[in-house]
Amino acid sequence: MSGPMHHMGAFVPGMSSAGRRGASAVFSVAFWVVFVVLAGHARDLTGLAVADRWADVLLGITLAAGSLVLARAGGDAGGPGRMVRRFAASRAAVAGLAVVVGVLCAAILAPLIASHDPLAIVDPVHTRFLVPSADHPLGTDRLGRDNLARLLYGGRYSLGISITAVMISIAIAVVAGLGAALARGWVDRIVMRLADGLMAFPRQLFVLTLVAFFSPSVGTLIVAIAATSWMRVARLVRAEAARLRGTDFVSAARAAGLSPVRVAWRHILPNVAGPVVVAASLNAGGVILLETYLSFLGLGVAPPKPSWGAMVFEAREALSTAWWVALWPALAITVCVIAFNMMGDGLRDAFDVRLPHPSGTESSSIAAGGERG
Amino acid sequence: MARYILRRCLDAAVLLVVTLGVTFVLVQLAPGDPSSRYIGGDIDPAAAARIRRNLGLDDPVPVQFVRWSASVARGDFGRSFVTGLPVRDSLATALPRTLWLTGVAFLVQILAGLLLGVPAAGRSGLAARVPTVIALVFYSLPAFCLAYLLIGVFSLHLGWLPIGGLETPGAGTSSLIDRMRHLILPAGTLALSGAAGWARYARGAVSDVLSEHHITALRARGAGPGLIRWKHGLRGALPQLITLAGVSVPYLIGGAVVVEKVFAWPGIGSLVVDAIAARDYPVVLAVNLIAAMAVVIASLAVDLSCGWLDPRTILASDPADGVAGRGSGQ
Repeated sequence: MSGPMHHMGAFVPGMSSAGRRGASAVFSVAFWVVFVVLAGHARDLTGLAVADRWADVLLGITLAAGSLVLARAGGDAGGPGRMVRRFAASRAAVAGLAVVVGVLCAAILAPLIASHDPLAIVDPVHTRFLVPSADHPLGTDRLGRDNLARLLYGGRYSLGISITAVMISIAIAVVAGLGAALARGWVDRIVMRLADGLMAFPRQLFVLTLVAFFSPSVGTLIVAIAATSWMRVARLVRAEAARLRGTDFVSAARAAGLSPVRVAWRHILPNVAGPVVVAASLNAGGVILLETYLSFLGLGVAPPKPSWGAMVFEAREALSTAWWVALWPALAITVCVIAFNMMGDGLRDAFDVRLPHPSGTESSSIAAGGERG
Repeated sequence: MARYILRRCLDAAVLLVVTLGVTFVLVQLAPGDPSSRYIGGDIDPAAAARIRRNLGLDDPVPVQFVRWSASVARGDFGRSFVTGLPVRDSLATALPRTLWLTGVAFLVQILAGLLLGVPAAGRSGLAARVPTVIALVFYSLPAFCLAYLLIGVFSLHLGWLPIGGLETPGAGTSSLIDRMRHLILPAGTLALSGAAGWARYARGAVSDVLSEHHITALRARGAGPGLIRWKHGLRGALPQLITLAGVSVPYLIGGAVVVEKVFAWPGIGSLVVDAIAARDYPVVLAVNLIAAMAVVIASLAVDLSCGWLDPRTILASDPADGVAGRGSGQ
């Protein structure tokens, strides 16, 4: 964080960075429009196809809200040029970003890349467990389905669910954290105690439980993951907002007669930017892991739809004969999570945020510790 | 100090009440109200109402909450929807097995982490980079993938170790060696996931201590490098390491759920996964509550031992803004 001073640009008319911020908002909304349109292209196979239309609409609105918050947060933070330079200086961070973008593109473009139908069972007897060949670059699975196609479409589920869940959790976290910091008093106390209480439940176990209470579906999965991922970020947002609450420029905005919501949105949120963006990217890795755990245990994406966790589960019977079937999804998960973490580390250094790495480093701040997804 | 202990205990008590509240809300949300076990088919509505009243389901929700909390405090978690047996009985069988598994994994990962991390402290280059890279890979590799990797190598390929289970079935009285052989792979999976992180973290924590003035003073007096590293370095890093131990409790429990399922280890992880599949809500909620309590108690223990080891913690933790403090210590 570069401190409140940089924010004066947005406060003083004429020096506004609203244009830049608007552009990044448009960009991130556009990203989701592309995702949703492509998703609609193959509705049954998408990462975003929820049971009914209303849930779709609700999801769309939440996503847009999450994108806006992230864009609002990401657009400011003072001197983006410096941030970009610092991020680009880290080879690991750039490599992580490249892998993340590559995997996302592969997932979004799955219908164009895959030469086979991920669900089509052509000849389960003669084409099962084929070794990699020109026709099936990654071989086939136990029902003779093309592994490459399943891996690509599985990425749409795993990444679609994870990123959506992270966006929603960020939206919840920002509302809860800002609300708690600005309302103070009993609202603050209740929200933070609730966050503490929810953090006491081991995450994997609690998500399993939530999914069990509703019918397992993509929508349930997203909501359950989001509901158990917002607390740490909310805590962070609250702490930052509580610090900014007392600064002069916030007092000035308040004295100018701005409503509390407007003060929060225009003057506090942009300064909470860095930590939120960093937390979002560090969370993504853990959330991908969480999604694969759930699918692995049969509570996530329902077969025959492909998802990375479920693919490992289905491949377990042939571990001694066709081990490569399990290898691809396992590699995909691992590479993706590593990439998100390296990107998150780079962002953390670029934004100079003191936030613990989930795998346990970063001395002194471990008390706020990461939790394995 | 007394005030600190009191405050931490109060915090933990409040946290326990919150976790009870969260669980109670889930109990209320669970489909199938407890009276449905007694009310079936076309029963007279008046009789149904009487049964509900007798079960206390007409009482105000706060009253129900207090009554439910009291029964939980007595260790009464109700009966399983599936087996009809008290949940407490299944927990009593499963919990020691999970404690055995996670306890061994916990000790192994700390030992391995310290043995790898402490010698690397204060050194740069490869010694610094290798644990970091390995830690990141093990963090990013899902536990079930690691489990299958180990099964593939040690059970299927080499044939050294059993694929899963608690002991060889039908072997009569189970020998300790047989049990240990069954323990190696699941405990190893759990320990490996965490050991690299421990190594990375121990290295960082001890490095910080080694750059402090009192260590320089010790060096000047001629203390041996091994003594400095293992005694004084580790001692200084202890509060941070204890904090990490507390943080790793929820990880271990969460990891145990998946690992137990893969290795067919009949602990609470397998219990809860099967219960979720069968919509056996009393069992699911009891396991969640116990796990949350374990985490709260672990974080209280961390706070208290850190306060005891390093009195500066006590001073630092007394801000005007209580809620913004360390909180659950997670």
